[in-house]
Amino acid sequence: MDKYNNWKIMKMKIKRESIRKAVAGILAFIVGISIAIVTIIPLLIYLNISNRETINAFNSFSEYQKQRSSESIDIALIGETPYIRNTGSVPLTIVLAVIDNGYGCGNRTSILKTNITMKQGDTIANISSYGASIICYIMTARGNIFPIKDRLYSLLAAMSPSTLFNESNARFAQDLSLGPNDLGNYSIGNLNCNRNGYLKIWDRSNSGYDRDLISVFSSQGDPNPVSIGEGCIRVLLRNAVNLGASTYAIAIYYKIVGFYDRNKFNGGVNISLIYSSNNAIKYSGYSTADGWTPPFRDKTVIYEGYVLIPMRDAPAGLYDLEIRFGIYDSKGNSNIRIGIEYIAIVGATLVR
Amino acid sequence: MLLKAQSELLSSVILVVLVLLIGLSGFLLANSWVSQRYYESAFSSFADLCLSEFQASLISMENRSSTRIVYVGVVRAGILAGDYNIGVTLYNGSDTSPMWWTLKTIDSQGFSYNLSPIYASLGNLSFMQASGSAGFGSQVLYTKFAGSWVSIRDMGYSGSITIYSIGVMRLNDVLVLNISISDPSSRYLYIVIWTRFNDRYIASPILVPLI
Repeated sequence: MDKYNNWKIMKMKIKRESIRKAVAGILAFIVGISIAIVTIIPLLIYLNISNRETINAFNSFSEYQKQRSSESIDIALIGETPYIRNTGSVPLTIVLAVIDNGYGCGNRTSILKTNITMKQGDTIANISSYGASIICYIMTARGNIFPIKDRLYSLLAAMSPSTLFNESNARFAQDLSLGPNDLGNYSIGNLNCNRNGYLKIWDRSNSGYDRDLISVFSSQGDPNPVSIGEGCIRVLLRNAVNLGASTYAIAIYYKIVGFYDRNKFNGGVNISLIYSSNNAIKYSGYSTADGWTPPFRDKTVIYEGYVLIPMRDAPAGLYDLEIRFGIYDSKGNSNIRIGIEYIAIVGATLVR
Repeated sequence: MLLKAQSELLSSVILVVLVLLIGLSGFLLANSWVSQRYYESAFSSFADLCLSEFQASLISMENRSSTRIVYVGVVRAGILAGDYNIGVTLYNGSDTSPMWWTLKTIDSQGFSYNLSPIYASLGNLSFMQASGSAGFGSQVLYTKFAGSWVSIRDMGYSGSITIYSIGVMRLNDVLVLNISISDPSSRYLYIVIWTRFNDRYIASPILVPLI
């Protein structure tokens, strides 16, 4: 019986011992897990969140960089006026402009704080009344710096005479298409230009001069233009010049060729732009041809020049181009036949 | 029998207490480690973002007799949303150096600044002389070196650095610095923007070549 009891007590002891060990193990496990839960897991969550925030921040930084590199500014000449144009693919805000105070961009400039937003393709001529020609640099809200004056000068330098004239603003007589409403007038003995003539291209290719000329003929079938001593010829090309907005001035280059039988003329060229919409507004420039003597070839004189016509406040649109050439002081009795070899315009478009 | 049971109970209690004590100290240790990790991780994330946040550009440079006037514009990229109190230090030298704090310092007489909102149209800009300044021990000044954020003291600099206080720079502010450099041999300028993170100061150095 005792043996049985002892065995029973021992069995209970062993059982209690194992329960105690199991409880201690479970407790240790629970404590360990708790530590892990309250420390490692929040840390992992935090690191995950902060990592995501960092990734988001760097994504927004790369977006910022992308937008910043998409900003672009260029200078466009519309007429004679330089414009700052947003040529980038994003809108931009100009926040600063460095102004040339007359000493150049490297000396005594001033910085202008501004706030001009430009959408893609927008152009502006001024920043707070300062034109592009005196704005050295601009800074955008994204931190880009763009030179303005340098770019304008580069643009002007690139417009060398070889590229200054092209089909849109220059025509030789042989390339000029005369319209049905174009007029040719002349007068003999006075400068009225009040006689109706016919405007035609004078083919000089077989007559010792290389190029054709625009000239005024007294009749349609006449092979030669009118011959004048003292007098005038007038060429009127309808709707020939297209003027942009805000044009300060335009220059018209011309070459007039005369074939004569004496060696000196005094005269002058008057070139006008007449606003086609009402024929009332006229902008003119005049240059004299006094002492028109330089002989080109036998009995040929050439008069080349340009007139600068002020166009401030002129409305944009189509203009008639009028060229009057008057000879007012001829010596002797002989006459001259006159033609225009070319016309070229700076600051507007020739629509022919 | 009773004595034995008591002793067993006592040993169980001691065991449990020991487990709890070990657990608690483990918890405290882990917590301290985690806090440190939290702090370091938060600091280096913020500091990394600061490096990208402040974007400086050379606006123009002028020669006035023996002095060069350099205009620099600083804008915010917008990846940090808050308003930050910033300070500035300026250094120049004939060469670049990752240890910019060893270069020649430009003091408050050598620069002025304008801090104003982008969307305010103010006309001609006027500049203020930097007045508020404070010296900070190199142990609280942090810079990124070889990919890690380290204090300048850890880089071997034991002195203090004078940081000129500029003010609070908001998201839509632009800071323009007007800097005079009289040393003709200077070819590089370091503009260091300082932002604060608790007790530390983060350097965002921006290199501007003066060539």
